[in-house]
Amino acid sequence: MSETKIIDFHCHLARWGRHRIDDLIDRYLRIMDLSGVDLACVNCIFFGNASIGNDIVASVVKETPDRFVPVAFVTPHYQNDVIGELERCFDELEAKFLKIYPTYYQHPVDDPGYEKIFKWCSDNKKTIMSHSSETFETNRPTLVDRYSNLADKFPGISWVMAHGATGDRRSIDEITEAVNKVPKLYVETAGSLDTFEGFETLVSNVGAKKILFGSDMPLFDARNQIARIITSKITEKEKKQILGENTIELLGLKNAEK
Amino acid sequence: MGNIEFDFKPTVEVWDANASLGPRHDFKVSVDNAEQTLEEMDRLKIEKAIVYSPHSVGFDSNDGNNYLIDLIDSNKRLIPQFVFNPTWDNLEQFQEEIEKNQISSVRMTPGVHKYPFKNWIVKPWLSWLQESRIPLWIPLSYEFLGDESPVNPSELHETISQYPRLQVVISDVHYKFSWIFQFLEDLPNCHVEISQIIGTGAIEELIQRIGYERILFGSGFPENNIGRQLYSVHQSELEKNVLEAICYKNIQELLGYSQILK
Repeated sequence: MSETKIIDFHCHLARWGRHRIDDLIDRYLRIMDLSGVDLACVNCIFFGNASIGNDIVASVVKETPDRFVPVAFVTPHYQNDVIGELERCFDELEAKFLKIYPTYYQHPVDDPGYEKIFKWCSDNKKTIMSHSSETFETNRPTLVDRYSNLADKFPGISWVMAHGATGDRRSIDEITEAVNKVPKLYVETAGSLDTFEGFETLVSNVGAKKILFGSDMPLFDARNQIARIITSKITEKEKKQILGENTIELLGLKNAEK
Repeated sequence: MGNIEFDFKPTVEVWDANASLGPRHDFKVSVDNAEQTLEEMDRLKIEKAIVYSPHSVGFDSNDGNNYLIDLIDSNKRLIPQFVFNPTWDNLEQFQEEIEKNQISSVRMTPGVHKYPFKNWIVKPWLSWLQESRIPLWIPLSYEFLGDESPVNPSELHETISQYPRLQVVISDVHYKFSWIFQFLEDLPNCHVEISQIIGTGAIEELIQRIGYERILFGSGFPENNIGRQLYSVHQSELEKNVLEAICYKNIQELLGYSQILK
């Protein structure tokens, strides 16, 4: 396994001035090198017209295919466009999974507005990464109920809860229950805060196989984010699973194995 | 596999400029005593940590500060930092406590204690700190049951600029506070603690814009892990003198330890 690449599951492209996010690819690659990341899974969620963002992803991947993995984005704001864009992203642009962003839709991940998208992804056995809950939600279902229902309705989908693996004390129990009860549910590590020993507790609770390293770069620096795993008190084998092995297996990235 | 150090240890001495010690009432921190704090410091080779009492922030500065001294129990690796609330505490009494306990830095939390950072509130305190050369920590995003008020950057800037010899450390700078770069550029007596400066390339940008002399390594332990930002600054291709300054020399200088240690 020591030959397996390190893969960052959660990265964005394009500019976002409010958060000082630029689109300098040379700097992106330098930070990846300094943090030890071999491959970054990149999406672009900043455009109301999803195809503009997906084109940016395709263009960056085309320039540097050995460092970037394309990720699709669609928005239920444009119901008539989503299937065509999904087909374009996965068939032509070779996206490896779908990122959705319920925050922009102002409805949670299990809102009926996503059904058309999820049905296509289930039929085509795709992986979807999303926030698992939103601050605007009131009286939301528990995560185990939410993802059990989604898994029942859309059995072909593998789900990744973005920011689910920080070990944050406020959510760790609920996340543990959901990941342990829903078979194809994973958690990703990016986040601004954590809780001392929370990450180790989560690894112990759900097992390293359900956890994927992600940084949310360039919002967060990949060096800071990868340190959550590197400096934690888990085994080297578990670190390697989280840093690359699990993503390679989930996405079938056979060419990522050296 | 990429260039990864699975058994990371810092290559220079490290002082943590932002840690707390003791239980919180609003949730249970994993580590709330000196013994466990020192154990984690040993694991990551942290020489010393500046620690304040969460009780001082959450309830009462006097009670919390005394509790902190008890918890530290004279261990020289844990450097006590006292908290005060200018709307509640007695300045003379606080001055006596500072002298009696040989306190080298203090902390104000206007967000949690909910007062405007204006001269009509803080003037006697800041004047004394300036004359006494006692550095002041001000956290920007201390969480307290979600009840804290956001610190007003304009009030902070306007008031601090009237105390040019007062050394101020801005800590817990949430990544959304993008104004911090201009703030630090404009106020040369302000330093920054970097536990929450986690935007891509942000540490390098800080060094480029304000120099390395005003940047302090801090962790936010035990709510946060010590290792995250420590690993990050070690992967930044910094010159050794810059890494040393950020990890311990700048804080030594600020607290007056550099003179003691010479």
